[in-house]
Amino acid sequence: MFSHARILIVDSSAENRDVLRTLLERLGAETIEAAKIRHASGLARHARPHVIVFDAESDDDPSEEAVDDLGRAVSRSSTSIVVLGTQRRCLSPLATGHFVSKPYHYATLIRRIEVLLGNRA
Amino acid sequence: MKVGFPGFTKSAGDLFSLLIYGDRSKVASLFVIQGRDQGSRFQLEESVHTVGRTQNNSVRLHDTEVSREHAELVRRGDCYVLRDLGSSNGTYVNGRPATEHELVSGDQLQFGKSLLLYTGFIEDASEDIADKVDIVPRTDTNDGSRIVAALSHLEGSDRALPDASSSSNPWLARARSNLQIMYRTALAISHTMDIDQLLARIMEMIFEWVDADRGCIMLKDIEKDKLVPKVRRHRRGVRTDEKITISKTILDYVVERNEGVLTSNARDDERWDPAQSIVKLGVREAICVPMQGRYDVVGVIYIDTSITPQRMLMNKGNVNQFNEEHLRLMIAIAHQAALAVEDTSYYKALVQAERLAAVGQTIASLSHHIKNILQGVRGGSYLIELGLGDHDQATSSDKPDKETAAKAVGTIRKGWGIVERNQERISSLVMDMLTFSKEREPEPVPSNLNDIGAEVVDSMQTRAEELKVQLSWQPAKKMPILSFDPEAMHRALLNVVTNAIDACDDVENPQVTVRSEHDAKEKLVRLVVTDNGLGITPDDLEAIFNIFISRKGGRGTGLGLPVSRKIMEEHGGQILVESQPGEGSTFTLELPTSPQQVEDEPPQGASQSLTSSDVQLDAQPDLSSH
Repeated sequence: MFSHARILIVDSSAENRDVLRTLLERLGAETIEAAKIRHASGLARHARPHVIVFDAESDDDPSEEAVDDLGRAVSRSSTSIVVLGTQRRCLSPLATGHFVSKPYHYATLIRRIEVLLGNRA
Repeated sequence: MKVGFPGFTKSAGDLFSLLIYGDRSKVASLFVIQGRDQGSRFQLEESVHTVGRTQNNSVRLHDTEVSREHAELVRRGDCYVLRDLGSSNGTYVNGRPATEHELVSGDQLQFGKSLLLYTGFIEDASEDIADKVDIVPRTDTNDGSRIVAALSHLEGSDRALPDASSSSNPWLARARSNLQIMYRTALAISHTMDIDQLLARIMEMIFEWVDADRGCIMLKDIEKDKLVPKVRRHRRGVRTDEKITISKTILDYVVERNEGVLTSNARDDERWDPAQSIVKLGVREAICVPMQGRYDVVGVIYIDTSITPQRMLMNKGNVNQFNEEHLRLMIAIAHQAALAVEDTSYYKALVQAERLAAVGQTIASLSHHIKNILQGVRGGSYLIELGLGDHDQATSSDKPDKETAAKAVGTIRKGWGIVERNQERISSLVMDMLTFSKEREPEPVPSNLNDIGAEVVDSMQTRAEELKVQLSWQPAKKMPILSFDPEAMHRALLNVVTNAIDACDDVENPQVTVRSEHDAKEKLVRLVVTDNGLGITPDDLEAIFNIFISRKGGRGTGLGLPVSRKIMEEHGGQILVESQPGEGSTFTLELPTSPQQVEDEPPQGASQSLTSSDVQLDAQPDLSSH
């Protein structure tokens, strides 16, 4: 399922990005990373990932514009997005229902990504 | 159902808002001052807010006497309009039933048993009178005024109230006496914020002024909806085991009608006939007055006195101990007392609210940091688990896959590194918390500041390299041995250096320099940390030392700098900071070289206090030679 999948990881924690990247690449996925939301929207438009894994709480100063921009990039390309956070209503334009509560178990997150990739197939 | 309670004058509402909210005063809010949610604060930012018992209300009150959807607050321009939504128990504003009411700052809103204080928007365009008042320097000779008299506050109060007995006019003498009583009562109760002490003081004052045998003060308990005795007092010589019996009828009358009463169980027609052989037990007179606060009655004051039959016979023309003047005086005292009780109750609610807010903020902040650390531990441990599985798989067959096994070991190492880093983070968080909470006292030993600087820089090199920050250490050539807690000083410096490295994120050619200095002239040693990072704005310069204020987003705990400052202050030193936004910052940790010496041995030549035995007068000069 992960083979040839392209996944964008948006998380300001280098450590969290490192772990997720290691896990996804181990499964055969290709990963791209962004530490801030404002970089993520550009990457989403150009790289056209299949899934975006987005930590809604890690950017300490998310501008509304950047969030909306990412939301538009997601909807245009019908990319699936998994939002990681404490509360579902955080960053509501991106709260699409694929929500994983923090602190999460990586196994749970991987399974959720797998389901989204499977749905695309 | 109407409930009375401590309240505020409307003019105090704005002051209260400023005291509570500081620079957040631009938002209107509701502050719960009575009820189960006491201390809660609801900011009003939306155009409509609903008030009710259920979860879907933006102002949710855990009060069984509040309706599910009790009322709503609708924004109209710069204020909110309160509308009752047909609630079962009604909505009250400042003690009066309201169906629709435009709120102003200081209004008290009552829903069920909950009382809330509304603070409105503070207008930005408040008049700035700074340029309308000129403070003239003392040396300015244009101002011809000079001090012609001066009185301290205590002297002034005595002189304002001449001796009441000095007047030959009985009415004037009584008036002065009453004024004196009121003034002294106000003074006496103005200095305590503890309700029990306040009530005891009030009772003491009453016994000074009124010839009562027994007295008690009862305050309204809103929860139980009844009067609860708080203070009881007996005059010396009066039996103390006897219960004070107060008629409920009288109490209800006093509270409901808000009227003071003077009662007597004397019967005029039979008593004063000396022919009567009936020996009565005596007459009991009582005064019971309401404690009328700003909006409602908060309690009652009761005093009584007993007149013996002998006294009745001796003073058959006039046996009344209490009269209407006493009643008037007691009403006035009770009103003052009520205002003081309201103020102390408000103060208690305020302190509790602040405590709750601080506790809430502390818990929220700590939870956030612990959650992030936990996420790191989960990530690291998951990598270790996978790595172990991969390694077992690679080595379990007859032909071990060395490449896969090596890769698995790499995964395990990576995971272990993450776990280890997060262990350090939780340890650092706990140490900062302990240091800040005063659990750990400094343990000074002879130490060298250069050693501390070297250790910290050495421990931070790895992190600096990861973030591509050039970290350098420049020790002073000579550094005296000082007495300080090396672990605490290590922590203080570590926090500052960590911040400096983090501040260099996203900066070209990031550099952090740590150097030590010995200033023999100023008797100071310094550790100076300079970075070329983002810098700190002037507004943030003081705030960075506030607990849980962090500019590092998820990475900062908000404890580092407050802890460093605390450690330096415990050692008699300080932290200084200079910064230019966009250019970088310099943090200086300063320590005096010999604080103990400064305290115990005054420097030579300093003046000393003289005693009479230190002074010897010269003999009278011999004037005869002139």
